Amino acid sequence: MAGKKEIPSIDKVFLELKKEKRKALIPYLSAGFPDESKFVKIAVEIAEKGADMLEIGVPFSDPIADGPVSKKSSFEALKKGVTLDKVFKMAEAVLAKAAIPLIIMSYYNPLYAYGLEKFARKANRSKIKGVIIPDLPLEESSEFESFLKMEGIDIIKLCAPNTDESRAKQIAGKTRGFLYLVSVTGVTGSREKLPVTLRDSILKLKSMTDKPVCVGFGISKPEQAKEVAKYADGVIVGSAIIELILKNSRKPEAKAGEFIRELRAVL
Amino acid sequence: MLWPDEKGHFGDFGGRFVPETLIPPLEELERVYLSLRKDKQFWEEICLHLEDFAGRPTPLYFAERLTKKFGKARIYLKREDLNHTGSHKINNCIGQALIAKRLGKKRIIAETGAGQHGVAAATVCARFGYECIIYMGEEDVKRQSHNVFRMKLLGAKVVPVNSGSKTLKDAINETLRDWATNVHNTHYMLGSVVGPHPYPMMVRDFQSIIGMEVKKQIADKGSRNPDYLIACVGGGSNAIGLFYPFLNDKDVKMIGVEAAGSGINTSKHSATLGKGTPGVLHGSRSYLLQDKSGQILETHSIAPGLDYSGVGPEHSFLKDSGRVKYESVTDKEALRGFELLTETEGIIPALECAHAVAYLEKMMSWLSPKDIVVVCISGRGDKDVNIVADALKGKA
Repeated sequence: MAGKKEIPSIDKVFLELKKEKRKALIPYLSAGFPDESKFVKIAVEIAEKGADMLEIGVPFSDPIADGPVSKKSSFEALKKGVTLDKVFKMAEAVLAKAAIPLIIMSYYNPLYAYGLEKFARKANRSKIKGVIIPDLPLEESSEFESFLKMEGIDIIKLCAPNTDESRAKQIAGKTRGFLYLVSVTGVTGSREKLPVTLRDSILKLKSMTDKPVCVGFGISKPEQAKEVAKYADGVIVGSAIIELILKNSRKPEAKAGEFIRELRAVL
Repeated sequence: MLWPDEKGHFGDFGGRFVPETLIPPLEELERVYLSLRKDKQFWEEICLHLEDFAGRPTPLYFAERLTKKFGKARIYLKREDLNHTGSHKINNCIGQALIAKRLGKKRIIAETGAGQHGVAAATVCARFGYECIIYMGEEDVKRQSHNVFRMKLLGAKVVPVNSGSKTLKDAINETLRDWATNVHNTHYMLGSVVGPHPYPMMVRDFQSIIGMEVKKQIADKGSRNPDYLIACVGGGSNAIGLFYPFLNDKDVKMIGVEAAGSGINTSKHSATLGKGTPGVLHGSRSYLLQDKSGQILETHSIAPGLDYSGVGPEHSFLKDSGRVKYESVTDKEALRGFELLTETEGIIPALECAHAVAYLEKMMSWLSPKDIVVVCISGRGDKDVNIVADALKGKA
């Protein structure tokens, strides 16, 4: 049974992927959207259809890096009263059926209000493997990093298209699990086309670090995922899945699962 | 110690909490500003525009009838309402327009609450030939339609923001999203002493002209330093502008006045320093009105420019250090302040600074006739006449 299985670390997943010569597929879901039980169902289905890890977003009232789609799902979840404690409960429910690393994506303030040390402790207890905090740059993160380290939770850092080389090196040095490359300037959300410079950005980062480089923001189609995965170690897909959930209120997990299978096939 | 430190911290507050995409433009802005800060020519250029374009210095006006009416202390008004565009916001916009020129960025974006900063930004953009996009909460677009029209006349594009509370907080979110998207050619002309480093420091420096003039003007009148400085606090730019040059003058007491809305024990107020807790919003750590999960609360004030759930990090620092006291007055009291100044001195103040005027009445009980009080009249009230008319309807 999956529930009895040990949940692997992010590092271990990448080691396995390397052996199998595959690229990581990391979907993103807003925790508690469209509601708590449907969220768990979708997450489990996505894992079964081939997600290697899952990023789950903590809703926030002021999500400045979110585009219209993820903003909408975040507000819906907030309206339904989703809190960090509920996110941990949902995470545990997902992990009871799917043994993949879960990564919490949250803006800084909900974590700060919860208590950074308490968050790290509770996250470890819920077997969370990583965190991504889009509005916490290097300069402000040392305190939180030490709490996370104590609990063995990876903090995944982001690089942007306009990050210069010396800063990218510092970020690559500090990140754990993998390095998250934001593909475009701007907010999350599907893009018709990814920037032509993306390939160079990926290769440049790859030359700086041994850590896996995964690309997110804007990837919405299997062709795009395939193209990015030629150079990167993994892709993060968020808004495209949320759009499917928004459009298919009756059986969102089936549609989301199908889409994951399509993505899996090309990675 | 001079605040902020090199990371933009004012004690525990301030800093730079933004997505990685915004780090390069903020570092560039910081670098350019820190070099211009030492550049005499840059300040001379600003002074020239402040004099010839904005109409500075603004008068420090002895409010004779108000003084007589209370019979307690000599009351002076710093007349920022007499600036071009009708508020203190132009001081900062001129400074940032000249920085944008150095940065070579010709697309300007800005947030606005009451519309005062939006109008000032649109004005300098017309003056310097920049493209201008203003984000404004849908709710504010409705209640400040007069300013929306002015911005459009000045050639700005006004984008209504319909997410969240549809006010200033959400307008700032949308402006930050635009900046992250168009980072290569765009300067964010942030209008208050909030946001990530270097904004709280830079906007404070540009607004400090208010306090520097007061210092000189009161001396020119043969008077000593004032005993009290009073200013309203939303984000807090007019207040810090008045206070900052006096921070080291220990004899000068300072009071920032927040919006208590329907009362600070209701859910409808904007008294961030009075009722908030520390947290991170819009790029810096400061006091915030938030729930226990760290979700930002919606706020209320009759004055759109005070209707904000955050506050400048330096104010949070000055509150905790005890150097400045922060009080609040309700919508009703602010309306009384509005009427009082209009009727007694022939000055129609903006509802924001009507809060500072209203606080005067509260402090009279403990003032002596020897005391000198300076109140910052941060803007004129033409924009508010409809709100006031609605609020006074029941009364008439």
